[in-house]
Amino acid sequence: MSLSWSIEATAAGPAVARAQGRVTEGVTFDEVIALADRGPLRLHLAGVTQISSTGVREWILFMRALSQKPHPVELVEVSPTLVRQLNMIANFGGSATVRSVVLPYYCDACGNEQARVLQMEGASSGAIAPQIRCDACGAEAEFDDIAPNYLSFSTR
Amino acid sequence: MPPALNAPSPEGLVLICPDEVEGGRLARALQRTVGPVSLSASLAPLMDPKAPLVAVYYDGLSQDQRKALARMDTPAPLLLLCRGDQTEAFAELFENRTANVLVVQENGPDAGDLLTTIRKLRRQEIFGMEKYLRWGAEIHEVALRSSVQRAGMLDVLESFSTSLGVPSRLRGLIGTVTDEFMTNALYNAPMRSDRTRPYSRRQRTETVTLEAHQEVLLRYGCDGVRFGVSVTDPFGSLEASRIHEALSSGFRGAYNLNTADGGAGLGLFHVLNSLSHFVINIDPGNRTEMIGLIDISGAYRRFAAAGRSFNLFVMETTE
Repeated sequence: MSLSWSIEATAAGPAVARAQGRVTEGVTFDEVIALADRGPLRLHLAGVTQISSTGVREWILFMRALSQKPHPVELVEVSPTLVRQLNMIANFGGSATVRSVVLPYYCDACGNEQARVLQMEGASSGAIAPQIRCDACGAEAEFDDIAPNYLSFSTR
Repeated sequence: MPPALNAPSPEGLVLICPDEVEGGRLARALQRTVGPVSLSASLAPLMDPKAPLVAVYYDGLSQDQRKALARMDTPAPLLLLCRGDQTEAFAELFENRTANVLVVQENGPDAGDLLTTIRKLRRQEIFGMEKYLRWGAEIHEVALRSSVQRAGMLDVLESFSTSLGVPSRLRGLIGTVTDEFMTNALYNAPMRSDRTRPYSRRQRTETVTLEAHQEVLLRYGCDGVRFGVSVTDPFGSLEASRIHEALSSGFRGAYNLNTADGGAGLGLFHVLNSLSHFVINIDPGNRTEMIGLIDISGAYRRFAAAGRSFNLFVMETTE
C-alpha cells in the first residue's frame, strides 16, 4: 500500500499527520508541507512499513521542505523502518525533532510481533528493555534489533 | 570431464591470513569444502597470475596489509572472507575493483555459498538463483513488461512471504529489494543499440512498457532458511564501474543523491543493506541478473546482526 496520510485537526497544539504504508516514488507530501505553513507540526510515523530508494529521496526532499518552514516539526512513534534510515543516512530527519520511536519485539516461542514506544527525551540504548512479556503466549519476547545501535541517530 | 561439484578441487586454494591459529582454523573449514588449502602470511599470491584461487581473510590482515590491499591492482577479482562489518574498509576496496565478499560464521563461510562462488569464479556458469537455494526449493516465475505490474507483484510477494510465516520486518525487506530490482530492470537496464537509455531519466511514476522480446523475469522462492528473489533483464547494460561507484560512496556514507529526475542513485546500496547476500551476474550486452537472499530462519535481529555477503560476476565479453 502506497503511503497515505490522515490529517487530524486539533484545537490546540500542533497539527497532526499520521502516515501509513510504503514510501515509494509516488508519494505526495504537499498536503503535509502546507500544514507546516500554519503552525507546529507532529508527524506520527508508526505505520510506515517500507521505503524504497526513490522513497528515501522523496523523504529527504520532504524534510528539507519542512526545514524551511518557520514552525517546529516533531516526529513521533517513528517506525523501525524509518529508524533504520535515520541511522544510515545523516540528513534523513532534516531539522525535525524525534520525540519517540517504536521498539520492535519478537517472540521466538510463538512468532508474535509486538511493539513498545520509547520517549526519546534523555533516552539511551540502555532504556531499551531487552525482553518484554509476549502478549500472545506469555513467554519472553526479545527486542528485535541491535539495541546498542538502534538509537545511534540520536547521538550524531 | 569437469570435476563433480562436491569433489575436492585439484587446483586448491590459497588463504591469506597472517595469524596462523586463526588461519589454520579457517583453512580447515575451507578444506572441507574446496580441498587443499595453503596458508600465506603475505599478500604476494594475489599478484601471481598462475596462483590457484586466492582468498583473503580480511579480519586477519594488519593495518598495513589492508592499506596495501586497497592499492593493489590484482589480476583476478578479490575473494574476501570477513566476520564482521567492514564498512569503512569496503568503501576503499570497492572503489575501483570487483570484490566478492563472503561472511564467515562460527564454522567458516557457508559451504554452499563458498562452493557456488568458487565454481562461478573458475567457470563462466554464473546465472541462476537455484545455486543459492537448497535443492527442491520451488521457484516461481513471472514475466514483466510494464512498470504497472510492480505494485501487484509486491502484493503477491507480501502474501507469499506472509503465508510462509516470515516476520513483518523481513517481509518489508523482501518487498523493498523486489521493488528495487524490478524498477532497475524496467527503467535503468533498457539500452538502445546506440547505447542510450530510453527510460533511465524518467520519473518512476511514469509508466514504462517494454517490447515482448525485452521482457524481464522475476523469480522468487524459499528453501526454509533463505528467501530468494531475482530479476533478470535481457540487456546486460549494468557496468561494473557503476556498481563500484555506488557501493563505494554508499559505504562512505557520501550518497550522491539525485534530486532531479529518474532514480535516486541509492538503489544498489539500499539493496545491499537489505539483504543477507546480494549477487549480481552480468553477461555484458546480453543479460543482467540480480539475486537477493534474506535469511528468514529467525527474527529480524538475527538478520541484522549478521554480515552482508556480496558477489559480482561479469562474464568475459562474447561480442
